[in-house]
This record gives sequence, C-alpha cells and structure tokens, in this order.
Amino acid sequence: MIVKSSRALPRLTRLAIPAVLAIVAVLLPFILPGDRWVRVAALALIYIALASGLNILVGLTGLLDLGFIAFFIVGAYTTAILTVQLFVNQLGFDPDTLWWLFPISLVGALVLAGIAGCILGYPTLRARGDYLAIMTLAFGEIVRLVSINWIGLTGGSVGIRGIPPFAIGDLELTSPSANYYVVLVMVVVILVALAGVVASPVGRAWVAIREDELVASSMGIRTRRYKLLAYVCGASIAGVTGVFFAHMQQFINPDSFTLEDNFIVLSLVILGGAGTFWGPVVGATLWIFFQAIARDWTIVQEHPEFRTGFLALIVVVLMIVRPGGIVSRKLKLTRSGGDPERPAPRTAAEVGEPDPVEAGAPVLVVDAVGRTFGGLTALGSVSFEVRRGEILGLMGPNGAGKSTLLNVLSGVTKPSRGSITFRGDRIDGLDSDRVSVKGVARTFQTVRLFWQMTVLENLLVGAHERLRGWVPAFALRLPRHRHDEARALTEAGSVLEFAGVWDERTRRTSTLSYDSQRRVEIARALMTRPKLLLLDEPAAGMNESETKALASLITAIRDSGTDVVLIEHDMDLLMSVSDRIVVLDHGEVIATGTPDEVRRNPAVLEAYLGSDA
Amino acid sequence: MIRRTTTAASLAAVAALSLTLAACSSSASSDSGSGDAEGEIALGYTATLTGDFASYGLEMREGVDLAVEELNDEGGIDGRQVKIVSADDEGSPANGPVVAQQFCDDTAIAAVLGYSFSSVALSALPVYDSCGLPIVASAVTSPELTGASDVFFRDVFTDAYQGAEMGAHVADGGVEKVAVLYQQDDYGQGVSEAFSTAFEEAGGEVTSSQAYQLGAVDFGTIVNTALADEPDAIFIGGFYTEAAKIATQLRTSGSDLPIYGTDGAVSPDLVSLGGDAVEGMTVYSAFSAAAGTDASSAFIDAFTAKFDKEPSSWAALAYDATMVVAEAITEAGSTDRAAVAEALASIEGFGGVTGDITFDDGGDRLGELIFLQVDGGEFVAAAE
Repeated sequence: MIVKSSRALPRLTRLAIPAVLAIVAVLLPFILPGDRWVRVAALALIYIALASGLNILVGLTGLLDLGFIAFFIVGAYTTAILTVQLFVNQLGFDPDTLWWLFPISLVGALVLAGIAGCILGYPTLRARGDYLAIMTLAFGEIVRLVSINWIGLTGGSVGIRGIPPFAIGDLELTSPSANYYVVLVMVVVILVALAGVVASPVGRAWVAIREDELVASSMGIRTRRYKLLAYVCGASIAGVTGVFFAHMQQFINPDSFTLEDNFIVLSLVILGGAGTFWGPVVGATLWIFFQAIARDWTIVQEHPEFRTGFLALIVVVLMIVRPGGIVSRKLKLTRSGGDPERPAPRTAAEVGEPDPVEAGAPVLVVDAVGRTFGGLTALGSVSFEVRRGEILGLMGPNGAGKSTLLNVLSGVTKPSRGSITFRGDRIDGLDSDRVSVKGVARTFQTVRLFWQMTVLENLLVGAHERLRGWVPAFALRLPRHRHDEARALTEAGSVLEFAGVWDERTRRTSTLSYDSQRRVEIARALMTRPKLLLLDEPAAGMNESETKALASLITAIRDSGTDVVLIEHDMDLLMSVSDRIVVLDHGEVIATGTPDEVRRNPAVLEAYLGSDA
Repeated sequence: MIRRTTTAASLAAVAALSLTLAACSSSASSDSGSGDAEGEIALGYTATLTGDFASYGLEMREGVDLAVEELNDEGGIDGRQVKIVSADDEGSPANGPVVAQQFCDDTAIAAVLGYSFSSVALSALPVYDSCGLPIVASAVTSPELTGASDVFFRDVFTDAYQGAEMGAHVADGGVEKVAVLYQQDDYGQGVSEAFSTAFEEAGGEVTSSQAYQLGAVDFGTIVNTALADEPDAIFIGGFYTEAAKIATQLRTSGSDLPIYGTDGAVSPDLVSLGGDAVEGMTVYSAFSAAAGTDASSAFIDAFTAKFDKEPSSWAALAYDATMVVAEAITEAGSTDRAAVAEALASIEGFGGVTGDITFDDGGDRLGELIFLQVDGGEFVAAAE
C-alpha cells in the first residue's frame, strides 16, 4: 500500500503541469478580454505546434533545419489544392459541403510532408554544421519558390482563396472560439503523441544521437535511420499544422511563409528551451502574445518600429540571462519511474537462456585482420580467438594498435583485410550498431555517457534493440510498450545493482563520481545483453581500492555468462583477472598465453623493456 | 525541487500574462467606452508599418493623419472628433485575421483604412464579413479582391481597370495598331491583358504582344520584332527601369513612334534613365501633383506644409479614403457599421484629390485616370 502511494505520487506531480495548462487552455476563450485575443491564442497554438515539430530536429536530435517552414507550406498547399483547386474548381463541389474532405487532407498532408522530410533528410544525413544549415535553407527556398512560380497549381503570388472554414456537417466552426478549440485539439493531440514518442526508445535514440552519435550506434541504434525519422516526424507535424492553418485563415499565399518565418520558429524553440518538452510551448505562447500586446502601447501606435526593436531586445536580454532558454525542466525520456525496491542480487540462473556454445570453444575468431590508415599500418595481420567463458586480456605498449583493434572489432572502423567471425557469423564490415545487435558491446577509453540523461535512461538506451518499435505505436502509448519498458526498467535496476551503482539510478550522469561513471558505462553496455563485452581501459584514473572492486566486477561479468576482452594498462589488474592474454606490438600479435606464460615471454619483455632486458 | 520551481515559474508566467491581458482589456474597453461617451469616432488603420515594405504604409498614414487633422479642425464628423487606432500587420497574412478581429471587437471603430498587401487583406476579409465592418483600402490592387466581400471597398484603381482605361485612351487618340511589351509578372500581365482587350474592343489592332523579364537589360530583339509589324505606337506594361531602356532602344533603332506606359513607369527615374528617349511618352496615374485641380493643389499645399515634402499617390489615396469614410458616416447619420457600408456602396462622384470617387458592385473604384506626358523632363497633364 505504501509502495503504491509512493509510486502514484510522482505520477500525480508529473501530470500537474499538463493538467493546469490544459485547464487554462480550455478556459482561455472565457478568460481572454475579447475575440481578438482568442485569435491571437489560436495563432499561438499554430506556432506551438510548429516549434514543437522543429524541436524534434533542433532540440532533441541536434540537427539544424533552417527551412522548416517548407513542410508547413506542403501541408497548407496540400489541403488548399485538394479542396479548392480540385474539388471546387475542377469537380464543381460546393465548398460548404466539403467538410468530409478535411481528414483526407490531413492524411495527405501528413504523407506528403513526411515524404518531403525524407527527401530533405536523406542527403543531409552525412552533412553536419554549416553544410547542413545551408542545405536545409536551400530546400526551404526551393519549396517556397515552387509555391510562388507554379502558378497553375498554387495560384502563384495571388494564392488560393475560398478554403472552406472548419466544419462538421452543416455546422460551420467560424467563430474565433470555435477556431481556437479546433486548433487546440490539434495541439493537444500533437503534444500527447510527442510526449509518448519522446518517452520511448525513439525519443531516447534521438537524444542519444544528439549527445554522442558514436556511442548511440554502439548501443545498436541505427543512427542514420533515426535522424531520417526525426526529419519525417518534424515534417509531419508541420504538414498537419499547415492544413489547420489553411482552413483557419481560409486563404493562403506565399506571403504567409517567408524566409523570415523559418528564423522566427527557430528562435521560439531556442528562446523557450531547445530540447525541453515545454520550451517550444512557452516560447511560442509568450512571443505571440507579447507581440500582440505590444501593438496597443501608445509608443508603438506612434512609432511602429519600436515594437520590433523592443521584442528583439527582450530576446537578446533573455538569451544572456537564460542561455538555455526559459524552460530548463529536463525532458522525460521514460514514463516509468523504475522499481523503488532494491532488486535481489543477480544469480547465474536468471542471466538468460543456456548458451549453446560449450565452455572453452572459440566464440570470436580474428583471422589475419589488418588496418591501414593511408600509408600507416596500425594493424599488420592480427589473429587470435576469444573462448567461451574467459576474460581475454589485451596488452601492449602505447601505439601497439590496441584501440584500433577494439574499434575494428566493434565496427567503428572497418578492417582493411582479414576476417572476424563471431559465433559463426562474419561481423567484419558490419556497422557498429549491427555488431552491437549481434551481441558485442563495448565501453570507451574515456567515459562516454549520455550526460543529459539519468542513469536509468542511459541504461534504457542500452535496451534499445529489445524495446524499439513503430512510431505510431509509441505515439498512441500502446500498453504493450509500456509493459516492455517497465520490464526493461526492472532489468536495468538489477544490472545497476550488479554493477554496484543502483543508488545512483535517478541521478543525472554528469553529477556522478568518476568511479560510478565507469560502472554506469559498463552497466549500460551490459543492458544490450552482450555475449561479448569489450572493455577499453576501464581502470584508467581509478585508485587502488576502486581498481580492486572493478576487478571483481569484471570477474562477475564473466561468471554471469558474458565473455570479456579487457584492454588495460594496469598490469596488476590485467594479470589478476585475465584467463589468457594476447600481447600486441607494432600492430602484430607477439605473444599469446596465460598470464604466467606471457610474463616470462622474452618477446614481451623486449617490447616493454627494450632489447637489453 | 527543480520540478517545483519550474511549476511555480510557469504558473507565474501564466498569471503574469493573464494580468497583462486583463490590464489590456480594461484599457481597451475604457477606450471604446470613452469613445462613445465623448462622441469620438474611431477609424481603424492597418498596413505594413515595419520592415522592407513599410514605405507604402507610412505614406498612407500621412495622408490619413492629414485628413483626420482637417476633419477635426472643422469640428469632426457630425460634431464628433475622429481618432485613429493603428495596427501593424507586418506584411504577414497570419496577422490579417488578428488585426481584423481587434477592429471588430472595438465597438468605437466605424470603418477601417489602409492595407499594403492584398494577401493580408484577403486573409482578413472573412473576419470583417462576420462583424460587418467596412474597409476602404488604398494600396491593394489584386483582382482577387474584386467582389470578395460586401464590406470591402478600395479607392485605388485595379491594374485591370487602369489597363482598360489606357486602352480606350490610346484608341481615342487615333492610334490603330499597337505593339505590346510587358513585364512577366502578375502586374505586367494583368495590366497588359486589360489594355489589349480594351484597345481591340475600341476597334484597334494589337500587332504583337511580347513578355520580358524584370531586370532584363537587352531589348534589341523584342523591339525589332515589335517594329516589324509596322505599328502606330508602342505600349509598355512595366516598371520605369525597363520602360526607359525599351524607349532608348526604340529611339536608337530610328523609330519615332509614340510610347505609352503605365503607372509603374511614373517615377522621376524614368526621365533620368531614359533622357530624351522618353520625351513625349504618355503614362497614367491615379494622382499627380501635375493634375492641377483645385482639390489636389489645396491638398498638396496642406500636405507640404505639414510634412515638408510632396505627397505620394499613396498618401493622396489614403487621404481620399478617409474623406470618403467621413462622407459615408455623415450620409449614414450614424457609425452603425451596416449603415456606413451601405452609404459607402452608394457614394457617387465624391470629389477627392485623386478625382471623382464611385465604387462599383465589386467594391472597386470607378473614376477618371490622370494621363501624364513627359515634357521637358517633367510629368505634365497630357493634352487631350
């Protein structure tokens, strides 16, 4: 009973803000002093939707888009052309009877804007920074120029008039309040769906890509696909918004969609707080309302240019005072709070289904793998194997090629020659996300966590492959996914307990101690349920007692059924935990054997101490 | 803790916003209240007042201000003082309905003036329709606005109307064959089509009709093509830069045919670019300081005294729009919006500084264009 209420409480507080905002939004037409303000509110809703859509790209996924309005144009013209140009002008329907066409327009706009998102997204996947900005800007202009110059279809600069207002049957929803409520329904649906997607594997994948693309792909996330998905989702939201805008205005022409609007929407996202859920909402609402309020000021009546200048000044001051935007509330990347009870220690029995590979049989076979960077040979011809049930130590002096080897094994860099076989499958040539899905996980030499996420959210990214699904299913919050996510959170709890950092589960990873960060990184890798774990200098920067504790964690990982490849400079650690050791020097294997054999190997001594030893 | 502070902050923001709005509402309602109590008549004025296209809106505002000043000096309309409620539409059609609703909500407003962009006006019309507030616009010429609403009027001539008037004028002048050159956009195309239709209806023949791009430099080919059919005159439907170049090309080719242009060519730059080549060229305009009627010279004097510069045609049109609205309110005997709209529709031959004003059924202006001729480097009223 107590447990239940302590669970229900955070849920209640979490729903407090949306509930208050929803009540305010519903009562707004009655609170506002006149219909003019209701129209301002409806316009603010349109901008809330646009800013929330752009936030997926700019805020969540970290992709710049300076041509976002293009998708808005696609949506608005889809419905205008379908309704007015086709059904009224060509087929001779009475515009007052066309209310049933609205949902069809919506679907059409959703699909067309989504396709436009794909078209823009695809070539920009490889571009970053300035190039991406220029590409999106150019795309936006292309769409705008088409709307101006394809006169036969879009009416050119004259635009399309006589778009029927919102209606249900014979009931025309033309009053300002009716317009407002119709658009409010759209915004609520968009926000609820968006919140569902954000607190799902999709949202976490987006944020993971923004935080660290390489790590995201090592968690099994197909990063390019998710970037494209971000474009499609953002574009679809803008497209749907365009349909509502066109019917709200009953008239569209290219003047509604200027280059400047791209920058305004982007400013709203940044002003409100990019990458937060409520930022775009707050930014758009405040901006549109203050813009309208400023119109009434006496000084603006006399000198209209003061308004623009004053608003620009507010933006500058706000950006200095609150550089992260008005809203700083962290994004909720999962709706479940996690199990409040400390999980029971993991036993070998629950670690998974029995492994078909016998102990001692080779699981990873590296055969004559080489890697050349330009003229530099980092790896000559490396061959070794990792056997079931062992910790394989990988040592060698600086520059021996250890890190390159790890990158080649994990798919970050492709081998120039040779083959890598993991449990019977070739994995050389696979992208790192596919290598991860095959069951090979890794950590990094310097800790690379998703710093803006909590420990639990980091671990859930590790569970991506098991949780992923279809975007509409997340938007609709199907119970199956909620159930899966709850299970994954329970698993995350026990993995954290296993790694000794369960107490830190709700903290943001950037606030953790170094030792805990290392352990969380290992725990996150374990969440992918790897059969083989590659650890890249996990003890670097740790003190003696921390290193000792780490040694027992690594042993425990092996004992729980995950084979380990350990790169380490700390000889005590390496010698004490490794079952066998492979020694690399100048990109070649110079010795293989048990720690004792390696310790006595003259070639190893020479490599480490020089030829005189 | 973080959660709590953000909750508090967002609630505070909402509260602040509603307070500001409440303050606005009280001031707005007291405005409209005081307007009625003191007998003030408010007129809405909206146009694009900031940004790249602010000049039309600012010039119109000067005309409106002068008209309001003159009206109030003479005791207002029916003894009630006139005041302007101004709103910047930023040239954005999204703001059209918002501004329109603002004027609709303010019960003291009897009519609306201004509008720089046809698209903004078009997006606002459904709102005006719902509250019956009449508009007299002064700078929007789109054909889409013709008959778009019962409450929409404009005292600026449409491109189509002006083109047709020019066509009739040229035919009346005894010209039988014309070669047409036009700028390839909705302005050039609209005005030239109307010209050609009217000219042919008057019994003339259009020997050729060729388009050129705005910003084009070389007109040799199209001038030669135009001259090949031996026309009596050349009509150029476009702006002054290209018109001046075409005229120069024409004279260089040895032709001394008369040249007719449009209001787009009316600019001192036509003469500075075209020089002798444009001497004698005939153009038209809704308003010109050179027209020389009593009304217009009085207006020019008053305007120059107030603003220390010559009025543009936008200022003159907005001045007339204000005066027409004043006349309509006087006719209607009240500021009842429906009555004012009805009075506007039945205005006939109102003597404005831009000539007589009458509105047709579509809300477009009927009236006389002023034909101008370049004489000694100046635009002067064309000899009939």
